[in-house]
Amino acid sequence: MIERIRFKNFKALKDAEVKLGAFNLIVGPNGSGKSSLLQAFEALSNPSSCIHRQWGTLGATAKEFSIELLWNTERSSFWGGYLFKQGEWKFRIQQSSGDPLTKEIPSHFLARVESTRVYALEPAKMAQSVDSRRVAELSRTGDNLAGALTYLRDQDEDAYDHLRAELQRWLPEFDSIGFKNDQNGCRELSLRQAGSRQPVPAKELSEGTLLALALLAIVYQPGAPTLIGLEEPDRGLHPRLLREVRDALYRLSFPSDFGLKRKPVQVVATTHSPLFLDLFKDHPEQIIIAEKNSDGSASFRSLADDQQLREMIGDAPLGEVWYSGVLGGVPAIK
Amino acid sequence: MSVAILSESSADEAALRVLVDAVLGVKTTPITNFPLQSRGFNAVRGALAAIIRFLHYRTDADGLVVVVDSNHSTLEQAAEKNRLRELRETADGVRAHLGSVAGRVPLRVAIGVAAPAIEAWLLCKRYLEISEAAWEQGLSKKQDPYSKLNLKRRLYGVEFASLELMTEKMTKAASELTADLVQVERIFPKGFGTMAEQLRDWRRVGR
Repeated sequence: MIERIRFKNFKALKDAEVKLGAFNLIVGPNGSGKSSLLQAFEALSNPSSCIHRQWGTLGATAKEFSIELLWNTERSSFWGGYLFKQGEWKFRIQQSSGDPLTKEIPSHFLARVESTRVYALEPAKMAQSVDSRRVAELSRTGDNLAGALTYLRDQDEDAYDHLRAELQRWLPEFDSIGFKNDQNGCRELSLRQAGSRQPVPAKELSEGTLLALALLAIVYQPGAPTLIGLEEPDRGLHPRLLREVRDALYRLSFPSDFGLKRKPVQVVATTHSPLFLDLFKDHPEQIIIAEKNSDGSASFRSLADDQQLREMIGDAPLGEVWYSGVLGGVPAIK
Repeated sequence: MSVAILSESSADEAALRVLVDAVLGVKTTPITNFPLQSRGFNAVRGALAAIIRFLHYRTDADGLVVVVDSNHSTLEQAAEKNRLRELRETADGVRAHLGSVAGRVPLRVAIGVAAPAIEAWLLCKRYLEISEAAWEQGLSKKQDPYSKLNLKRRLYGVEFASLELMTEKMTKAASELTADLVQVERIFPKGFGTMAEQLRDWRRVGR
């Protein structure tokens, strides 16, 4: 598991650090570094693909930035990551305890970053037909949803059946997922209406329905990543489905609590929903508050670290408290 | 008998229906196409009047059962902020002004407050230290005898229970209690006992 991540001059994260747990929900105003945190995981997982992006502090003189992680192995603790300088990424380990350092990028670092996946789902793209070749993983935007679901159906029948059952629980108006190849060799996704048994093509499904389906595809995908970053998993869904969304994400992070025998997946999700935040009241250690500072920089803090604030909150609904401004992580509208 | 149950989750509702049926001695049915759900006391307080009016005028509901968590509020009758009393006053005020609908009496309402949460009711026969008195005493000393989280861990056996697991465990625990509801009323006289008494009144006052 990644214990911490710290930034220098990465977009608004000029000098920021965040402590991570198995499950993390980040709240904060627009531009407070939530998405930047998720983009950092993408950069770490494949730094060379990110060189072309203008990810250094915008408008500032800094031409270098860094993203570093704290992680533990059985015997050691490491701070390491990438420094982007003079147009290149360089790996560095700055601090460690235990095992001696090597010049090579340690395999335990790569194991933690290479299989991270970040999702910012876009329903309009999910509704598109896809090339009928199978794909093992859902893409960042979900634009290969039909392909990823076909792959799951063919590779892991049990997982696919569970996904279908869960979809029926979330959206009982549909009872089956269908796929159809057109003349051009493209595959179209549809959901079958439970009553009329008529298939509804993806392009006619609601955004919320597509988002729910993509969320389940992420949760049930084979070969689960080590870390999943999710932009607003609650987006477009009915408030009463939020508890189901939380359970689905918890199943990734705490599989043994759900009777599963696979490795936990670290989850970092963002939200703007007070109702979704309410569901995490019992676990302040899972709440990260992102702040936009007056100098334009952004920073993070864990709700669990502020014992006094938690005592002040008492039994009050967390979402209401956040909206009121007591928690912080709200826009400074003048 | 058609009874709507307003609680914080479908798992709560399933367990409460077992308890309500046991007190009433009949198998109640939910309101068709109208699954109620609340988001805690403040939301219930805000919406209760509208819910009662809706059930009375637009459904065939015979009764409404409302159960909220007490959290750290007291159930002492004299207390300024008493959730049981606040909800009762709201319900009585609305019921007093309900217009007549052919063939039915004003909607019956029973209200319960679980101290600190429904899990406490469901665990009280397994763990002797769990009781309304113990929770109230803890409130007065500003020292919780147990936390809601701890109750959840004890009932569900895991830290992060799915809604399915909660429903299964809560319903099972509720079923176990039905053989001796008198004891539950003794252990939770205000929050559960009052609700049970109101439900028994439903039986006494026929339609």
